[in-house]
Amino acid sequence: MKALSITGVVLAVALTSGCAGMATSGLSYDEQYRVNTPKKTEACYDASVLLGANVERTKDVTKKVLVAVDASIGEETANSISAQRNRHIGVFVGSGGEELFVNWKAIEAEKTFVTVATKTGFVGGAGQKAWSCQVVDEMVKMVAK
Amino acid sequence: MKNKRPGHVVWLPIVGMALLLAACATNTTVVATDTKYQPTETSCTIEFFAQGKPTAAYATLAKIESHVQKNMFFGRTAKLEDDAYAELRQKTCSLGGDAVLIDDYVESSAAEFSHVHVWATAIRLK
Repeated sequence: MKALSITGVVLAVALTSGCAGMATSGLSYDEQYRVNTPKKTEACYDASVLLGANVERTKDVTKKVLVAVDASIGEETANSISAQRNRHIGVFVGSGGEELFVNWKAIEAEKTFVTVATKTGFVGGAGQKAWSCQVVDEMVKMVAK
Repeated sequence: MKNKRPGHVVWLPIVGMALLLAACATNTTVVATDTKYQPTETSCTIEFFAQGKPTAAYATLAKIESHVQKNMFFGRTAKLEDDAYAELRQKTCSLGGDAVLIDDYVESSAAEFSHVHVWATAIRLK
């Protein structure tokens, strides 16, 4: 009986936390974007911004922000970086493991369109959150400084 | 006959200690310039410039990057003005500096953990 109730609780937590987010952003550039003004989806799994910086500076700022939010850089290309937040064992649920996908493309010499997507996993989802909004906000803060 | 202690009684303090150690962690990198001064006490007075730079001339001593992590169950939330400043003060004093320029910083939190990451420049006002 006790084993059944524990299994039920574990299943309930797993189902409510679940997989969420995406590896590919659903946001794309249009002329409505204003420099350094982010657009965010409601749950913050997806966000974008027309950054007032060139591609090189955008890549530098992306790396700085990802490391600052406690993520390890994974794959890097000329116009994208993927990273995963470091896992920490906690008293209750711990944290970490979220995957972050940052993509960019040059619009003008000093304007770069950036998208940030967050993907959370099934296991440990309870200790995870969407980072896309904070990442674009921090990128804007650094570029605007 | 010897009383055998249950396994969990032995492991609980070890797990507890590990959790405590993992709860608060600080990683700092210091890249010093060629400008050297005599170190001062680690609790020396440091002036922080969170925005802008001092109007007076100064010598650059080092670039410092620090990441502070805290678990809310074993302390408060990691903050620039508390935890990061304390770390920067200690490093700057050991370099003989008397001020710190905050170049960039990011505060973040998720579940039980909070983080502050700071990039700073240790200086000595002339």
